[in-house]
Amino acid sequence: MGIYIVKRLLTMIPLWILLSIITFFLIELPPGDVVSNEVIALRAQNVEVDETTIARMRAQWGLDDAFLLRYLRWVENIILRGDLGSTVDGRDNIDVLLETLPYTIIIGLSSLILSLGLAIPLGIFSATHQYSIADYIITFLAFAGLGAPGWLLAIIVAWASLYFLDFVPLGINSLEYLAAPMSWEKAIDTAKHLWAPILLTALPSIGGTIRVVRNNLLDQLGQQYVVTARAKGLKESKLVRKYPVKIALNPLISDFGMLVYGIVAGQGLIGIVLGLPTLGPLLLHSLLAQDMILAGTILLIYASVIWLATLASDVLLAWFDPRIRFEGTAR
Amino acid sequence: MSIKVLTRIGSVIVILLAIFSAAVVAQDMSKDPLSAEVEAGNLPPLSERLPNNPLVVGPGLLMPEAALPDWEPGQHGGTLRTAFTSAFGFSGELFVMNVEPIIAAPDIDVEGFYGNVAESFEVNDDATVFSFTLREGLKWSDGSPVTTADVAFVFNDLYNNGEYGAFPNKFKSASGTPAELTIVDDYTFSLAFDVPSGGILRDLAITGWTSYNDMIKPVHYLGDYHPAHADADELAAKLDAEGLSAEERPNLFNNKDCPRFHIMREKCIGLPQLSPWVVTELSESGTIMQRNPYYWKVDTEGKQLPYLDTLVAQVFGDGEMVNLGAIAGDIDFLYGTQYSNFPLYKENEESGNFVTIPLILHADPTALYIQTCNNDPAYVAVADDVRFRRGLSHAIDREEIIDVIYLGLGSIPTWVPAEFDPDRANEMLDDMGMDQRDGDGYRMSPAGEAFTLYIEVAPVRPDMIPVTELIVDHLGTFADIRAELRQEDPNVKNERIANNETQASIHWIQSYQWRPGMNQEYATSSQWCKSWRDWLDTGGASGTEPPAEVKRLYEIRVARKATVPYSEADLALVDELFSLHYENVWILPMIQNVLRPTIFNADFGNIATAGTQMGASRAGEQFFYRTMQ
Repeated sequence: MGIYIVKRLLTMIPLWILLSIITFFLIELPPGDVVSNEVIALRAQNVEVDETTIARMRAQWGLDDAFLLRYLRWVENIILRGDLGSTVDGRDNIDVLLETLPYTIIIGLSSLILSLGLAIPLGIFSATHQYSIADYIITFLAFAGLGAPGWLLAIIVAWASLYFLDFVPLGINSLEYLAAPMSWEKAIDTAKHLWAPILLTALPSIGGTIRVVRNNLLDQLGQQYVVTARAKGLKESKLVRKYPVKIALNPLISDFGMLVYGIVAGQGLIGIVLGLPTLGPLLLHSLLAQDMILAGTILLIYASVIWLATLASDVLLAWFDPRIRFEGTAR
Repeated sequence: MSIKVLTRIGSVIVILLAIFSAAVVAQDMSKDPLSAEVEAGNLPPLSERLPNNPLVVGPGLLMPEAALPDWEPGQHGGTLRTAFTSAFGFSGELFVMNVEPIIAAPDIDVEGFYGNVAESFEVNDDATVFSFTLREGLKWSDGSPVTTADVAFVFNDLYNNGEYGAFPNKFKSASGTPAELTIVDDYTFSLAFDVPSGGILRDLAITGWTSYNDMIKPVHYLGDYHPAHADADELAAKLDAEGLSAEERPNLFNNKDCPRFHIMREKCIGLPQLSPWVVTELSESGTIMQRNPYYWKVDTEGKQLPYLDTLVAQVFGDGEMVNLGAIAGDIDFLYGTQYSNFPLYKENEESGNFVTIPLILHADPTALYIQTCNNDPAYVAVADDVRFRRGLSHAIDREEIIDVIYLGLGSIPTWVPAEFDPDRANEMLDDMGMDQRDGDGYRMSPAGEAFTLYIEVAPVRPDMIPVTELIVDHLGTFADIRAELRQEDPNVKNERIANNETQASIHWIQSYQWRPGMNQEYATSSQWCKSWRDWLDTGGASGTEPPAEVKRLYEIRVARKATVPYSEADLALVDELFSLHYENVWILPMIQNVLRPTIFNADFGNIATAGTQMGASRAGEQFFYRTMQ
């Protein structure tokens, strides 16, 4: 098992290299570069930038060097100096990532726990009470959660919050707490801002998971072994929990990687709408600015998360379902 | 008199003196927003922080009295909150609030110059020598004195040092010769030009929202990153630490220096500056700026400016969310980005505790540029005929555009023939030979070929696309000209214009009403036939040759480098410039005198009710809260 995990982790290295080259190259393709984009943004605010200054900025980014040279320099700086470069607004990328990653992880993990914690019981209930009114309501809400785009819901939630609560859940903190050190008040303020993105990020996966659990469980509930167990007089709740639910959850676990991906991707758009300091808006801004160093780094983080989640789902599946043999998958 | 009486008198005098000096101290404290820091021993007293002759801000100085009739001395304290969406950590509001040119004039005008960072300045009779006197005792935000060594550093070690880039055009004369710097003493210096260069006053005061830092940089701080001042070994160690090679040593310096539009960056934390606020904290959530304890302006009562302690700019996802924040009362100062939001702001003034003031935009936001430098001879054959361009201009119903997109907050442009007159438009187009129609009823070119005018637009501002849609509609409806909108990335658009591939494009242009203040875009630009500009800039070495009228525009531009703004000679040149535009109609502006909604906290004092948006925000140091929360 250990060897298997190490092997899987090692395969990430060539994939990283490949992905870094591809992202670096792709971001370079459209016309313009990080400096020309900044000059356009400045001119849109009526700030004129003279040619001398532009030349200086290009030199700072090393934009006049060849593509390969810049790529190698990026890699060299990371490996030799642990230097991830700096953002277009002049902050060290490492600081920016250290600031945004915790929020991204908090929102991602919370919505993962929320979606699984809500969706699995609801899915089981829905299946065991098929065609009841509660089932219809749950099914309707599940489809609504799946169908409504998160960013649209984010706008609606923001407006509703303003009109009913006189409070806008934009950003991660109210302005007065931006510079304040961590305190109880600030933590409460953060919590007031966090519920909306957590809920909104969780919604589509709640919907999806309910449907998956319900359908799989329904398949199982009609099976011979369930009928036999029931005929033997096993208590219904114990019966459902012990056999069919376990099997019904299998596809969910094998799909864990995609679930994580959905939460990571969905969180991006919601973060952009709600102005959160998370990876999504950072990626958007770096792509708009054609800052390939930061964008490339974030894409590598995303890819790594999905690889790790896929790996985790494989391992979990093996642990959860004794029918799957590690030895078989390792070879 | 007995000893007793004498001692009594003496003690009375002592007490009186004590009371008097306490009153003086108290008065000094009320003038000092940072008196607590002074008492704690963290800062020298105000009198030592201010220059000997601080700039006294009173009625009519930063904004003319017509624009701000009820100027009043304010009180210290409070935080101004604003928001921005830019990917480059740039808030236009905070930027303009912190701009401090070496000389300035009320609002953003170029008349009535006063010494700003410089205490005074003098121009000799033929406008070749400009002498400046810095304020004695003026200090950087870290408390170090500002002297002419900081000016010498910029000119000698950066501008005249090829390694650190070319000598900037701003400080070149009309003949292209760099200005010569003479340092007289610690506070006096002069710039000498080979030919009259009165136009530089405009560039020193306003062009491009200029600030002091292209003339003065803190050598005591930045010198550590420059070979002329730093120890060679230390410099080498610094280069090594940043992974830079010896050839890249200008980058070491540039990574520490902040051009005026980078003042909100991390590298500027700790950089000695002269602006009213300096950046102290930066995160992905926003930017925080705190007052500069050594700021060199006081009000009429001797209180040190700025009144506001702190500026906060929060990062928002997009413009609509910024509006939401404003309505929720989270924003104290904001440039309304979309004219159509005016009613939204007005309706929510009470709930958001703000006032919406329409202020003049210094640029006309949309103009149709006809790029007659195009590569395609078939297109040029049509577009080069002035009757075509004038016909287009008369076929556009600008009143509708102004009413629909700009809510009537502007007027019909006056510097081109702009009346809506479809009959005249059709007559001109018929006249020039476009009288044949194709199967769809659209005009064909004089050569008898199908004709489509492609209008390229990059939506860097939200009004650009809807305006272009109306133009396309009007040209088709009123003049039978088939036009098509092409939306592009701004990089693509700029590249196509530079390559003479664009037929027509939409961009803003500096406002006509600000005529004496501008010198740039009316003589070809990066948005109007850039290849002509290249030809003109290089004397024919590159680019394509423009027609004689355009050459004359450029001559006017160069000639205006010599003339003092508002001088008779300058105004005559401006008149000639605009009569050339009126005759040739290369650029079709859609609107003039645009008013842009600007949001201010309802409790702010010293807010301009007229004048330009930029002028009103450059005067940010005099904003104050009437009531403290």
